[in-house]
Amino acid sequence: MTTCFRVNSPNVIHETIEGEVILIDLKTGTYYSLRETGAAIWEAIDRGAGLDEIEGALELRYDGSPDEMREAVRKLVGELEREGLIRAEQVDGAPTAGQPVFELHGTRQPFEAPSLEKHTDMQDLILLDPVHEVSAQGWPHPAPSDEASG
Amino acid sequence: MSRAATAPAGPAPTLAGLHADFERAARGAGGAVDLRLRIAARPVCIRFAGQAAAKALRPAFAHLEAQETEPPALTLHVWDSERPAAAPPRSAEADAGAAGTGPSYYSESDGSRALHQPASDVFSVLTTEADRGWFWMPDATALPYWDYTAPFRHLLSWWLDAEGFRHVHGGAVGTAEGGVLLVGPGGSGKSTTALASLLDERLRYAGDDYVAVGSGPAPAVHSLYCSGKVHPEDLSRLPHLEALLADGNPADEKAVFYVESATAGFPLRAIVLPRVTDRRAARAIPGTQAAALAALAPSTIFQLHPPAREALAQMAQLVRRVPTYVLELGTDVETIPAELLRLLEQ
Repeated sequence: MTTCFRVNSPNVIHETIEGEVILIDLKTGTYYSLRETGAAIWEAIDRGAGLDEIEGALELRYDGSPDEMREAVRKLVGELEREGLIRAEQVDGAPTAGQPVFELHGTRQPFEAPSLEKHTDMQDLILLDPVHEVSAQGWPHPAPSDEASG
Repeated sequence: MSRAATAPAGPAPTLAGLHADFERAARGAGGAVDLRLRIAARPVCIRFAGQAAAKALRPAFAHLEAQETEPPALTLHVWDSERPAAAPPRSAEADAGAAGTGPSYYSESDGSRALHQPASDVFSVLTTEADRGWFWMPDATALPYWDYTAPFRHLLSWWLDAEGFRHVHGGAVGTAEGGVLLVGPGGSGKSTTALASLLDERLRYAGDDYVAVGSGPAPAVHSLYCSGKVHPEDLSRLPHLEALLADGNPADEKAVFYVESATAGFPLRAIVLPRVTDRRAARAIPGTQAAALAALAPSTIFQLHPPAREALAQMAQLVRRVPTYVLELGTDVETIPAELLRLLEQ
């Protein structure tokens, strides 16, 4: 068994645009962005890669010390897990068996540690005006447990 | 943010029961007042039960009124008088006279989707076919400004979604040949930029907060509301708006305007992110697609319900199709229209 990572769908949605990843957590209203090496790591996670594959692929794409890359990958993956954006899964065999983790894009770029930019301005909207999905058996209305909890 | 909930109070609303409530209210109010509109190039009919509800909510659509003979693609039934038999239970929030903000409750059932906003006690129901809707409020003259300046936001967003459009959080101004979508958080200068466009007769106003955007290969902006809102302290920078100040505008947090000369829409040429700076004159500089998507998508997705998962991909597609600019706003508001026109001529 090996460990791979999965995007926490359906609560997490993401798009990559001009090399930058925009991630939105639909449950919390928090949104994030990842650039450069962070976007490359996300691309690998989106393909279901494990830690070793992400690190190996970064080494193909970026010029830097393997130790530095390993530490950076582990740090970002941990942060993504803590934010609830991804989850670890145990799979049989190689995590992304049969699919390429990265394509090589020309010359290797200097490696810079990734950073996860976090934006919480939408949380106010959600906290002030939350919308609760309720059963279809009647008017959409707070359930007794909601009312009791105030 | 959804929580699991069970055993909702009140009987399930039947569409026939709702409609009977509307018809009864219309008879009691002297008959239905039909407002025929053209929204996103489609015929729409809003049926108000009586003149009072029509008077309160009609001004936001003044620029879209049309002599339509085609059968409407959407008919909304709107009333406020007596509490309908088919209404959801009145909540403690409404009894406490809450200001209109607070939790909302959404559900989908066979044949319809419904949203109840207990603090303002309004409810919205749309058929699954998105061709008929019902909107009830306790008092049309007592809605908060964000509701009477942009009525039926949820109903229109669900309908637009079914018609292949996206209801987005943004303003828009332009010419008949093309215009810009103004996106950004509150306080970024969207309304100032949109309302400054009224200083130049070549520019047409399409909204300061919500518009619809077509998702085809040639994206277009469709205006929804001709209302505009500014903080009273900003009025001194926009003195040309005084003539447009809405009659009887209650002492709200914001001054409200209705721009009857607003356009129904235009082709989308660019996405503009206004930014308040200490410059004197406004200046547009190239922006990134990622910045445009981050400014447009989260606030669009979370302003309405349910949050549409597919909206992010649709908006990314839109952002890829037109250029993005950052509009650095200066202290001289009068320089904004010329800079927008220069950008549109590029």
